[in-house]
Amino acid sequence: VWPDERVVRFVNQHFLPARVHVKEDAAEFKRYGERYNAPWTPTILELDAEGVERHRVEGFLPADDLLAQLTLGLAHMAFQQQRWADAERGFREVVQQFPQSDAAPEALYWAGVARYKATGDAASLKDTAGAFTQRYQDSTWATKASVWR
Amino acid sequence: MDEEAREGWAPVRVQDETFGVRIVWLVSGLWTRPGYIQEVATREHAMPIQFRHDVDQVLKDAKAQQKPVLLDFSAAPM
Repeated sequence: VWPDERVVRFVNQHFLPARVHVKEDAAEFKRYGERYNAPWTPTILELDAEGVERHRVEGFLPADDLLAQLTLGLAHMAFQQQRWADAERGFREVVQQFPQSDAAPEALYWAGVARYKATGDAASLKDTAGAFTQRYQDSTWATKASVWR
Repeated sequence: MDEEAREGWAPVRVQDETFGVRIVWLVSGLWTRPGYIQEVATREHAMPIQFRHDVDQVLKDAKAQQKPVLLDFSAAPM
């Protein structure tokens, strides 16, 4: 996945990339593995600028799914920082760019929440619940959003 | 050249890794008439991600630059 040009471009644009290798960096792998509870590979963590974990990807994913997860993680990061507009934009980008990914239903859910946080208008939650009647009906995120109808 | 190539477009992807730089060659062969092959070649350079291994320093840099960190726990061959 790492040689995929889209992944390379995305990572270089948005992150400072670091790696600890289970054998080549054994001591660091152990230290950071314990610090971030990451005993298995591959595990990818998205840390905010303060070093706090905001999202993780465990196990191999194809390029599209990885890009979806990385975008989702950045959107979660924006959400945690109360940058509601950035968060919503990121979540909706996941849904639009990677609609078939596992990240998409989660992103649709949180896009509604981000808009609600920005506006205080409960209609955004109701609209999101409505959107889940059209797509991702079988996802757990549709169930979670169902209370907003 | 395989049968598909003889029919016309035949994208062939060849990867070569030299000095850590992965070079992806995308070669398209077009069979235009017997005995004559016109090749159109483009070369894509997919620069690898420059993963750093000094994680402590990366975290300090992230704080200074207010930029997120992607931390990869890997067992992939290096």
